[in-house]
Amino acid sequence: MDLDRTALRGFADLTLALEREHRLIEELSGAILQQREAVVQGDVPGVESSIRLASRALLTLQETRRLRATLLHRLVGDPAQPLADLDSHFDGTLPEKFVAARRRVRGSAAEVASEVWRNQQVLLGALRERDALLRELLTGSRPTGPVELPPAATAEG
Amino acid sequence: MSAGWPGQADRPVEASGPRPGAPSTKIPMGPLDPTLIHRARAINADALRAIDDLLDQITDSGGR
Repeated sequence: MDLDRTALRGFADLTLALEREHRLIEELSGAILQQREAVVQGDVPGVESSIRLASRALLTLQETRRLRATLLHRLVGDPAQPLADLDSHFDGTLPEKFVAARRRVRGSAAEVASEVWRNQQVLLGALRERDALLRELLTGSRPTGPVELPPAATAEG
Repeated sequence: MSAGWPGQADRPVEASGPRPGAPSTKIPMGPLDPTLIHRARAINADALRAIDDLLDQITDSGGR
C-alpha cells in the first residue's frame, strides 16, 4: 500500500490519538505514585483521590482506544490491527512522528504496568500488616514470625 | 454547683488532641480500612488489564 495523502492523514490522526494515550498513561502513572505514597503514609483522602484519578484516566483511555480502533479501520481496514505490524502494510517508511509516538506509548505503558504491579504488592503488604496489628491487639502478641512486606513495599521508599 | 469541685467552670479548658511536638501515636496503616485497600487493588487490577491490552495491541505481532 502506498503512503498516499489519505494514508498520511490517517497516520497524522493516529499519531494524535497515540499522543493523547501517552498523556493519559502519564496521568495514570501520577495517580499510581500518589496512591503508593498515600498508602505508606496511611493517608485515606490521598488513597481515595488516587482511586478517582486512576478511574478517570482509565475511562478516558477506553475512549481513546475506541478512537484508535476507528482510525485503524479507516487506515488499513482492521480496527484490531497491531500497531507494531503497520509497517508491513505500507511500502514506504512510516512517518517519523507516528513511530516516535508509538515508541513513547509502549515505553510509558510498560513503565506504568510495573508501577501498578508494585502498588499491588504494597497494598497486599498493608493488608497483612493490618491483620498482624489486629492479631496483636486481640492476642497481645505478634505472630510467631515477622510480618513480611514484599520487597517492593520497602524498596525505593 | 458541682459537689466537691467548686470553680471547675472557671478553669481553662485544654484543647483535645495531641500537644504540638508530642510524639505521634498513629499506628502505621491503621487508618486504611480493608475496604479502601481492596478498592485500590481493584482499580489497579483494571489498570493492569487495560495496559496489558494496550501493550498487546502495540507490540504483539503474532497469534492473530
